[in-house]
Formats: sequence, C-alpha cells, structure tokens
Amino acid sequence: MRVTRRGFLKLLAGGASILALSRLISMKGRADVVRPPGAIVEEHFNSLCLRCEVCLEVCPSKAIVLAGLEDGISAANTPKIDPLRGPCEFLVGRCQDSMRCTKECPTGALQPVGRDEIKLGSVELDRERCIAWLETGECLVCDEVCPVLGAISINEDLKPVFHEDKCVGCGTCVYACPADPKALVLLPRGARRVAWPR
Amino acid sequence: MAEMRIARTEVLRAVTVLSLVFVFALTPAFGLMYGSVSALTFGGFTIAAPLGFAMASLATRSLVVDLIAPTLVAALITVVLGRFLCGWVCPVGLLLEYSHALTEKVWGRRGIEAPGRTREKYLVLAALLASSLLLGFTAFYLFCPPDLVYRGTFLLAMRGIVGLDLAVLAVIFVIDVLALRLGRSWCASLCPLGAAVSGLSLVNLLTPEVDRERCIDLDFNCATCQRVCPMKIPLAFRVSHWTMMSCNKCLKCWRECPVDAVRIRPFSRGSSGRQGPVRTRDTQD
Repeated sequence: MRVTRRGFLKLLAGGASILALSRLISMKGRADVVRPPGAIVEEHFNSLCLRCEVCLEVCPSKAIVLAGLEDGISAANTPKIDPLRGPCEFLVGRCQDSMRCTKECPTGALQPVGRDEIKLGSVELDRERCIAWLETGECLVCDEVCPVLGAISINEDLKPVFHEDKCVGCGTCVYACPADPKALVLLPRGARRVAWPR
Repeated sequence: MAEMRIARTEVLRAVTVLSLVFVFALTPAFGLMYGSVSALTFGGFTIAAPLGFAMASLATRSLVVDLIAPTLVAALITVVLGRFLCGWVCPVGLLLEYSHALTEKVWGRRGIEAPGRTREKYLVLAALLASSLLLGFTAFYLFCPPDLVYRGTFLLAMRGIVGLDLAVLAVIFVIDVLALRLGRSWCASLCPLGAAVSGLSLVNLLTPEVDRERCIDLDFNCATCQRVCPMKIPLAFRVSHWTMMSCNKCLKCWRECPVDAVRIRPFSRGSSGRQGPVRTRDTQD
C-alpha cells in the first residue's frame, strides 16, 4: 500500500479531531454516582472499568444498573446502584455471605472489601415528601427495614431522623419507602472508596 | 455441489452466531456464565479481551494485574484462530452482511473491482490506544461490536432497558451500510477490535489458498474470490501473511470459486511463496 500525502493528511486531521473531541470529554469521574461495594476511587474507576457488565449480571437484587449519558460521557455504562430497582444487600439478604459483584469483577474496579468498611453513600430525607413529616399518616417503614443500628432514629413526634455518619447507603429504606414520589434519595455523599493502585 | 456448500457454511455460520446471542443473553439468568466478549467469567474462570487489558493499562498507567491471566488465555485463542471471531461469533458482522445484501439490491454495488482499503483499522486502533494513554479513556464497550449486541439483548430481554449499546450499534450500521456501502467495510477497514484480533493472529489456522494451476483469473479476469471476500483480501493476487491475517474464515471464497481452485489450508503460508502466473498489480490503493 502506498500512503498518499492526501491520505496521510486526512488521517492526521481525523486523528486530531478525535483527540480534540476526547479532550472535551473529561475522563475524570464526577463522583456523583453511587457505586457498588468495593469500588476503587472515582479518579481511576472510569479508566479501569471495562464496562463488561458482569457486576450487573450477577447482582441478585438487580440494584446495579448502568450509568447513562446524564452521569457524564466518561461514566457511561459503568455500574451504579439504583435503589429504586433494589437495595444493595451486602448487610442482610442474598449478599450477606459473599458480595457477588466484588467477587466476580474481572478488572478489580470492584475490590473485595470487608462488610464493616463499606459505605456506599448516605440517604437524605425530603420532609416535603415524607408521609410522617407531612402528617398525612403514620409511617416508620424506613426505620423498620434499616439494617444499621442508629442510622435512623425516631424523634418524640414519631418522625424519622436520618444520621449521615451511621448510614452505609445500602438503599434498603429508599426501596421500601411507600411515598410517591419517594421521600428518600441515595447520594454518594461520604462514600468510602478503595484506594488504587493497591 | 456448490449449492450444498452454500447451504452448509452459511446456515452453519448464521446458526452459530445467533445461538451465541441467545447464550450470552440468557446464561446470566441461570448463573452459568456472566459477561461477554470484553470479559467473560464462568465458574471462577475468567477470560478477558487483550484490547481491553491494553486500554485499561494505558488509561490507568499501570499494569492491571487482575487482567493478565485472563488476557493471556484470550490472546492464545486469538493467535491460533485469528478473526474466526469476526466470521463465526460477531453478530454485527453477520448483520452487516445481510443488510448489505439488501442495500445492494436498492442502490447497486460499489467498489466491485478495487479491493478496499484495509489498513486504516490499525490506525483507528492506534488512535484508540493513544486516547487511552492520554485521556484515561477505557470505554471498551464502544469498540466491541459483539458486546453491543449481547448486552443490548440482555438488557432489553432481562431488564427491559434500552441501553446505550443500541445507539452505538446504530452508528456502526449507518457508517457501514449507508456511508461506505461496501459491505462489512466497518469490519475490514475500521473496526479496532478486528484490528487487534488481526494483529494477534500469528498462527491463523484455516486460511484460503489459491491453486494457480486451476485459477482462471488471468484468463477471464474472474476475481470472484476477492469480490465475495468480506474482509477485502485480494486473493486473486499475491497475498502476504500480513494481509491474510484479516481473514475471518467465512469460507465464501472457497464456496464461490467457479473452478474449485480455492483450498482451505490448516496452516497459512500466505500465497507469496507460490510459483505460478500471478498478477502483481498494486492491490491496496
């Protein structure tokens, strides 16, 4: 094959425009996504994750979904926890013996971690939507399902109060919340991530 | 005889490709196998695509230790079988072949005589690896066409989600079928996964070879073999090992040759070593 000057220039221009386009796309994670347990620091997560979807496929509660374009192009198709589809059951339920996603992840973007070290994020309560706080009814569902002692307390008026420092972000309460729209939202705030490289 | 061959290889290929789509979409539900071409895990055993390993290592600027062993297994398979993946596994390739057959009827065929450009895919691959290094870009799923289908199917069938995969698939489809209109030009010329697989296929089992004693190309300007080749290999001319590494073992040349001059050899020698009346026109551009 003879590479013509024109062809070479065309390729050069194509390559340059690809690079310029990629420059516009920040590859550093924006860290506003709730990751599955054992996720490495957000800075490296999008670079290490191959988007093979093994974690999503093994998740017994179907809590893992894929981040979309709204989470940033760099994070597209990486795993995130969506508590509306299911809670992350690492404390109680189907994953209390072994966390399938961290065990099966081929790249190490999800690292095996001890149960006590996990904090996916924390749950925030919207009092404008909460059945108990709005006094449209008596509801303590979130406190009843919460697997963590002290993450949710009930004040003297029988209303739930969330404690961010104790909450591990499993999303059990969000999944169970009967309000429509949900009064609870799971945020990556305070998430504990695994250092990488090890 | 020829009809029998058509039926056998094409049906076998379509059945293989389609059943793999079902396997990858359904096995996770039964807990048998997870993942797809980029990374595959079953019973604690993992295989991972060498291109994914390269991209992740460059993007993180470190050696991704967890992926080394799984990558070696896949690399070994690739070295031996080459682009068998593209001919008998990748559903996108088959899709493009069929859709091209359709567009050919509508718009006619372009580029019958001149074999297409096939080396650009290595440049696309190089650009991809460079962007991994420079920008930390590891969106391997965007460049793994079979995965787009497998995961798109899985998400749609099992979770009822229309994923990004289908959008990327549409882009490939538009590029190949509407823009290039050469039939599997994506695979032959642009696919970075195809480039990575081609580049690795050092042993490259089961490639075609033309028996120059029987070949009528010189007498009748036949060139049927290279016209039907989805990978644009100029089989009627001298073909180097390097070019033959793009062969996807679809057996079309073997099937379509009017004088049965194409043979499938277990070990490729290229055809450069053969003596005989071979046209030596510049075939690439």
